[in-house]
Amino acid sequence: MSHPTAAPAATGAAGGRWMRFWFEPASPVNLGVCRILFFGGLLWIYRDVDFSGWGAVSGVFWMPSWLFTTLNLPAFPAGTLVILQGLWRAALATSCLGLATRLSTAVAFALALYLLGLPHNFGHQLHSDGLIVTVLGILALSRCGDALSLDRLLAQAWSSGERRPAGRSGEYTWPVRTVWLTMALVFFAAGVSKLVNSGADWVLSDNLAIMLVQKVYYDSPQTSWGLTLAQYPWLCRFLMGVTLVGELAYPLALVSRRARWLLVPSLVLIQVGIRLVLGPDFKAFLVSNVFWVPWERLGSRISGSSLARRLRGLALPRRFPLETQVTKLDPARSPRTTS
Amino acid sequence: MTKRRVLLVHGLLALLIGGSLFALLSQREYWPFSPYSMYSETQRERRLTRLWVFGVRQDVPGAELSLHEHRYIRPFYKSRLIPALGRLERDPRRRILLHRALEDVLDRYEERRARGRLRGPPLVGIRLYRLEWELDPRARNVNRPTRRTLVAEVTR
Repeated sequence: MSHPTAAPAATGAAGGRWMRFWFEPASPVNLGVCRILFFGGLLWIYRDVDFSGWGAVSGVFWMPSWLFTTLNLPAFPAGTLVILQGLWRAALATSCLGLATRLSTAVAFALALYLLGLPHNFGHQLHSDGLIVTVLGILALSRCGDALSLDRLLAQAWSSGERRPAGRSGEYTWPVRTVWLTMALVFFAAGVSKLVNSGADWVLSDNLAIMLVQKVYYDSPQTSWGLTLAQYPWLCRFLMGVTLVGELAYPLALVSRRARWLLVPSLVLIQVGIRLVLGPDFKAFLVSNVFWVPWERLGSRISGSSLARRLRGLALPRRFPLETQVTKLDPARSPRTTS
Repeated sequence: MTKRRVLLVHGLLALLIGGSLFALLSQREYWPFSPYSMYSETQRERRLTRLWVFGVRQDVPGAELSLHEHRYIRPFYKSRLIPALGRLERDPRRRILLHRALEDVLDRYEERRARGRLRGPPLVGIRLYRLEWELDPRARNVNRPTRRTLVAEVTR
């Protein structure tokens, strides 16, 4: 699991910044935490989703997407879909645990491409899961199993020679930043589409006020707050303005920590608000936000806090200090052994 | 990192950016790439027109059951079923398939009900309506559409 740790070279100031952005050496811990939370989140979201019903839907509804047409993929029978979804959930679980991670993540991506893509061939393409498939593809190409994984534990248990910690590498930076980029492309596209299709009217008209009332007639918003909100056109316009600005500005979160702190939580809140007053469910989008959190830095602050020190003293026997538990799973902190 | 890995990452970035921009500029869906154009149209009129699917009950003559809950129309959600039926209705080459589509909805409902996987009344038909409302700020007329037009029907 060791890799050359130096960032790849590039010529020119802009080229250098580009390469540092994508390949600045980092510890594998942050990516490992993201792996655990992302795959765990997907297991939770899709725990009850049954894809096998699509195997019994009449061919009259079959209006294949470009992907299924290009790859000549059919709708498999219900029995086959039961097997595929079982394999998918197993791959999500083993990816979460970091067991045979390269294979698990590849299988999780391939089966997600089919299973999540399948419903989009039956008359209408929705938008709740394209981001998920892209993130799965990114993780399938990454080395997200190098830390906080069963693979790591097994490798340590079976290694008889010198232990080689993975160390810091750009391999643990680019996947996280690529997920950032993917989310930025999604939200930016949403903002641009609003400008293309509606222009300033999207914000300045009674658009939201009308939509909020329409949704009560037709969709199932979680609350009836939308009807109350619709009574305040100025507030509706303000919220539309905030939404549009937030979506168009989202790419700034890639390059500015302040923008990140403002834009990422704001769009999370907007998506939660959409669920509450308009109806659509963005759970799959929300789970992708784990990649924005600097888990390793957060963990260092928490583990270094006085509360944590007190808790350690209470909870753990002295001969099993917390640091030892962490170093078993974190290759960057594994004790070096001499040959 | 090896040069090969760096090239691989750049290839991935090119695919993501290129695919997203292509979908955005064309304003068409190329799942998983999309222009994410939902809610991008401005609503200007305080009225709503929607297709709606009802089951014709066998146990209560003349009574209808709204079939918009997921449990009745699995694996569809209405956010997919209604646009699918709408596409069939709007396309002159496919409109003839609309009755088969409604039969499929009925067949799957009754099959799941017969297997005990669905609690619902027995149905003898499916009706597709176009419902229109003049919006009330408090949605007080949600159950009383202004107009109700039968688009298609299948009965057994």
